[in-house]
Amino acid sequence: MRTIKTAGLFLLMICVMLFSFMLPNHYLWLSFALIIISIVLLLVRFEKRKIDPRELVLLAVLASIAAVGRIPFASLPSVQPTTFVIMMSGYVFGAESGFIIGAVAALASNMILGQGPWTPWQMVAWGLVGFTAGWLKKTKLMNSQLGRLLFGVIWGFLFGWIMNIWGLFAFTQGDSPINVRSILTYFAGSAVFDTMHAASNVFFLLVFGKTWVKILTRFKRKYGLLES
Amino acid sequence: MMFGEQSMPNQFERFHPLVTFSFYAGALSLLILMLHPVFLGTAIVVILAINYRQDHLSGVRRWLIFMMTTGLLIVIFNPLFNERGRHVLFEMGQRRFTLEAVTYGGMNALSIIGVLALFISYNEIMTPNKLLFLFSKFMPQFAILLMLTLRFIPLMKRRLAEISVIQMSKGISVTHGKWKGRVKAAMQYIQILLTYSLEEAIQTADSMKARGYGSGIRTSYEYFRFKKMDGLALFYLVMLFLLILNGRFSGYGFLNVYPIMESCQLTKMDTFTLTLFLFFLSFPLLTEIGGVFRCRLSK
Repeated sequence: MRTIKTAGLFLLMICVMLFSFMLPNHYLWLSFALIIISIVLLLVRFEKRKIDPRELVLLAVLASIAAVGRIPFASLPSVQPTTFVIMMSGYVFGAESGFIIGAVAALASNMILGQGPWTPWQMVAWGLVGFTAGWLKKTKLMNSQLGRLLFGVIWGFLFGWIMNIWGLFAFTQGDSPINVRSILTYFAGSAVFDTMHAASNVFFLLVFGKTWVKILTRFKRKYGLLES
Repeated sequence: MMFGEQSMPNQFERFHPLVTFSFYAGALSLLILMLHPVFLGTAIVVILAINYRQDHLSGVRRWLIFMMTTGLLIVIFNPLFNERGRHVLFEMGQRRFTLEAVTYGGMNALSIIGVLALFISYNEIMTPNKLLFLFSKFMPQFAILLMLTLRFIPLMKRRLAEISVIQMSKGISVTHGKWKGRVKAAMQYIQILLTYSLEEAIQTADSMKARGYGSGIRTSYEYFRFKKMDGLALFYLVMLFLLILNGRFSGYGFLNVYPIMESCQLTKMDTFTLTLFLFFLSFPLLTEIGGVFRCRLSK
């Protein structure tokens, strides 16, 4: 049964891909197809792993904290700890868990705030925050304070840029030319928010980074969870 | 919220989630693909009618400003960065504003407004319950993770409120004082929430295990049965979708702007594709009419 389902999903994906190539210059459609396919592939992989209930609940707790974390910050415009929480979770619990936490946090919070065409993009953007944090865990970059801060700055901007891609395609879908000038203008428009995002990441990493790693690592060791 | 102010659940809401989801996925694709002013214009009218049937446009009204500004920005953005085209409307300094670019921007705007309006309806009809049901059929492990997260969100909100009451009594507040202090205090709340919730999570997990989680096939709280009606509806939607796509690949229902702009006039085949397109989009309205008709008959 499982293989049939997986085969069906793959067939669907191949159809979507073929379909995208038959319609040249439909960038918005192509980008949606690619992004949904990549999410499905990672979820299929997640589905294959047999996960202990304790680990499952842990992932859910981290995802919900990432989603709810925005509430106390409501009075502080464009400051939110979601990215920081996902980053720390990915760093401690690994790339795959990081992606899942990020994607679930985005999907679940949009189930409450309202879904839109931006949902898959947010899932991927936050998913990748967690994924890269886990993936680069053992590198020099993530093991020095300065490196981690740099990572926070990069993601502050990268997150905005990923969200801009969908905006840009929505603005100029089809075969309207996307030129360097229009890209620069569009990205300059979001620069203020991206800078705020990067700055708040740095602040959180600087003040709370070490404590959070300690809390999560202690918990992971205590119960032997998600150790790959 | 789900049963509050709504009147009777209409026919469209009673379909199997797979049918509902297919309708929205298909409608979304068509709105992105059929870039033709007539198609998009009529599509928006139909989607607004669907929204009107659902909640008398209260959802649309809430999102109206966002939809309008997005649309307006798209209309302005396109001619500003795209000088291609033969019909110059006017020149400003060294910029050419062409009819082509304006038409193009207008069509994009209509398409995106249509997509946003469709999502307003989607959020009303595809309740988390239905989406979770669909996920649980294809990805059971992910579905339970999503369900747990959704259940934790209100719990975490309550805990945050508790934490803030206690912190306030100690004089720590997120709404007063210096900016840096406020950010720090707010993050402290989240950290308290983390340590508080992690331990409790283990208990939840252990009681899940004790109740037999993972020992067999999981059943869901609300079970949707795939009835004959659902099969018919799915067939209707898929057939129409394929026919419209066939039309689209043959070049109908799409306005060529570059290199030479076509006229908006519909050819015979365009009209045929438009009819199919409208039959697809007005599916929620048609089922309604069908429902009323059956009601009369049974009386």
